Amino acid sequence: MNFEERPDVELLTRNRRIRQLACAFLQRAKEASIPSDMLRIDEKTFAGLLCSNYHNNPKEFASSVYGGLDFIQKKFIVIDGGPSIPTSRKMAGCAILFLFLTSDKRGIYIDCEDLRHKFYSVDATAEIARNDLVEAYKSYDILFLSEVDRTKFNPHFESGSYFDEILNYRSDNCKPTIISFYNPIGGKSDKSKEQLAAEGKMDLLCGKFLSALSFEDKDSQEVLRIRVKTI
Amino acid sequence: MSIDVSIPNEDVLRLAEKEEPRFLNILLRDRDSLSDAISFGIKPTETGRPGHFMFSKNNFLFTIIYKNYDKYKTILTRGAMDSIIDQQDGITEEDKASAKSYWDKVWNRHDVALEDYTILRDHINDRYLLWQFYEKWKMGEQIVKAPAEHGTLIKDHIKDILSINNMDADPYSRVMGINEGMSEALKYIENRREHPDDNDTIKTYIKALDEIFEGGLLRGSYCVISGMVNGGKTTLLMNIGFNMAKAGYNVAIASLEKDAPLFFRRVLALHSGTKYNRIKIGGTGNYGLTDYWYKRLQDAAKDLTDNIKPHYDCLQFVQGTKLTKILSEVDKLRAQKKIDVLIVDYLQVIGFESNHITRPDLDLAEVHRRLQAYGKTHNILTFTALQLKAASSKEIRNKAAKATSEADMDAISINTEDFSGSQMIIADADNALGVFLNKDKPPSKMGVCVTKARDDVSRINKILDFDGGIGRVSDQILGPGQVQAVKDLLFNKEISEEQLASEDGLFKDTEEEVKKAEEKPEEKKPGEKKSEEKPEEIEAIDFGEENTEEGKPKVQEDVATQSNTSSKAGFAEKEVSDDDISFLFGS
Repeated sequence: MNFEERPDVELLTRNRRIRQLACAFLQRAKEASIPSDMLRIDEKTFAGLLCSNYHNNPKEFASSVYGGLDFIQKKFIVIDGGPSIPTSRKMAGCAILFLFLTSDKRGIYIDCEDLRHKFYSVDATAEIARNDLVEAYKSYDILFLSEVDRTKFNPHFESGSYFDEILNYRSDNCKPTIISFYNPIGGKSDKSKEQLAAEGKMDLLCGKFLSALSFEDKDSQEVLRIRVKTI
Repeated sequence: MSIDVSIPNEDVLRLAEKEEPRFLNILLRDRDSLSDAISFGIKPTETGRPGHFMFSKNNFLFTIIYKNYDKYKTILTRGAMDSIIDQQDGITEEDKASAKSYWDKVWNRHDVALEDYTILRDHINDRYLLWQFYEKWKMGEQIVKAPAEHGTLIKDHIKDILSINNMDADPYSRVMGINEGMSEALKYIENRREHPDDNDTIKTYIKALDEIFEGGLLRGSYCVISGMVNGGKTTLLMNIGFNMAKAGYNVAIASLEKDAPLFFRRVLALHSGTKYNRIKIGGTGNYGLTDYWYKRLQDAAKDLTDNIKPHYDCLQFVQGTKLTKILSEVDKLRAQKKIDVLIVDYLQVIGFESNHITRPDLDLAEVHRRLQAYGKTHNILTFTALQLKAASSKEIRNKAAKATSEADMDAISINTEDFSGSQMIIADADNALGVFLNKDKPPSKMGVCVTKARDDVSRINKILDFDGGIGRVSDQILGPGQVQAVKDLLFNKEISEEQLASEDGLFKDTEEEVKKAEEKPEEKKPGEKKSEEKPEEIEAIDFGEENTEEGKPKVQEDVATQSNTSSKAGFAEKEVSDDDISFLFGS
């Protein structure tokens, strides 16, 4: 025995599904805390955000980003450049986070400052433990850590180690993390990171990963670099 | 009162004399008890066959009750009694008057409570067994006195003893020797060789599940589906049943939670692709039953009754109905047609017929055993549902919230110990599935964990598509290439979020697509879109060709009117969203 759906029912089902998923992805994007004005950023808008000095051909780069997950499926997507007001960095990060979400992933956007404050404010009497917080951010398919500023990390708290734990787990499990830096990513140096750290030019208060990434000035197999333009 | 049987036990006879009229009193007053008694196998004495009543007057009254129920499915009223008695030939007027006055006497008893029904029924059945046994036992004396061939006589006697009626509620057993077994096995293999498609399994017509079960579920097997509250158990059962019915199998769904009309409204919404919310809201407004949707539902109903003709019966019960009653209704249906699939939704709301103090799990296991035995006896593929334990539900819900792929699902495992009720249920079941829904609103995916399956194919997880608006569970509809269509839709800013959430233009586009598929390219009308203008996926969700002055798309049909009332109507839509109707799809 068998049955076949009528062609119009099949088409209808597919069309309903397309819309259902579109709505679901939008819902997930809102749950991921993406601001409403940064939802649905298209390829053209994204290309307009890019620094043409750094990316020789922003349109081509944007096309690669929007062309499929293969190009952006890196352990870290690092964003810098742009004005001190973080709109364009945030927009670029949200655009990529949204791209991942439209590929049926789940993610979250959080400001680094917010997360740091969360780690600071959690104490023994709090309802949620620091480790629970760490576990929550480990588990997302995609994490967008916005506006990392190394200088803001307080030496009296050990939040850097929590950031390391999160990023280490995510890196080991190939879960992409988008990080936008408040300061431009450091220039090239012949010295090793350890030497820079020893000279005080590279502090490790923010943890090994954030520190290293803030000095990573080129694309690699594991890192995708994006620089947004100043204006 | 004259006695039909003689048993050398005065106590039993005294008890029978007291209990039989009380039992009859219940049968005269309560139709459910009467139905239960008949399906249980309580019989009147007939020539050459003993019955359950020891006293002739009681047997006579029960014979009339039995025949009346058999013909009219009702209790025996005094009017009916008069009419039946008056039509009887060969009975004197005195006997007729006596029978009628006995009806009055039984009816007017005031010492009977309906709650006593089960105990009275069991006592009567016990005496019936004793009576039969006594008849067989008397044969034992003849064996002892026989001059020869004692072996043969004893074997016959054992057979006689084992043939006693009503020993168990749903007796089923089979003994097969190796010779018969090999012959049966070869016959089966030969049939499989010659007719590979004609196997003894029934497909669910959800490919992902059929692959797990190697082509479908065996007839006579028993499948338990477990999930959290509102977790998609009923919806999955409804979809599987509907698929099987559409394929031509006779499917009966015994629902202890949903009304039969509601069940069929859901089936219609599913088949027509109409959000159930529209039927719920009603009226002819944009979010209710506009002419378009009304026609669509009518067409779907016609399609089901005229073309597909699914064999789908819904048996409606209330929570707490006993399994005996449920199975008696299924029996009645079986008298009309062969039943291939029986779905009972769900196990924990069936009334218990046993009473294990402080051990309700054993009572539940008892219900499960009878249901499973019924399916095996009658070679019916049986499905039922079971809740998950509260502690397991919480953990699984948290994990399921983020699951979007089968890889995510590996972290979520619904194990046998997560199922509530007795562990015996899962131990006995042929197949056990755990289901859950993801966190989208409405849910967009259903995860299925195969907790137990035949031939060691358990521990497999599958993700199915779930459309909460209409309650459809299916294989993944969009292939990898078609997911691009979702992206194209999302990045087309001319389509607002409200338009995405609405269904406007959805069917018109579908109809246009079907038309296009039927037409040849040169026959296209002027101004009609060419297929190369936009990718296929975008066409499927196109909202219209012309843009308005503001640069927004001109939306089709009732969208125009909708936009005028968008704020109010949008609010109305929110008030009864897809989430709100999720209660319809969960247990």
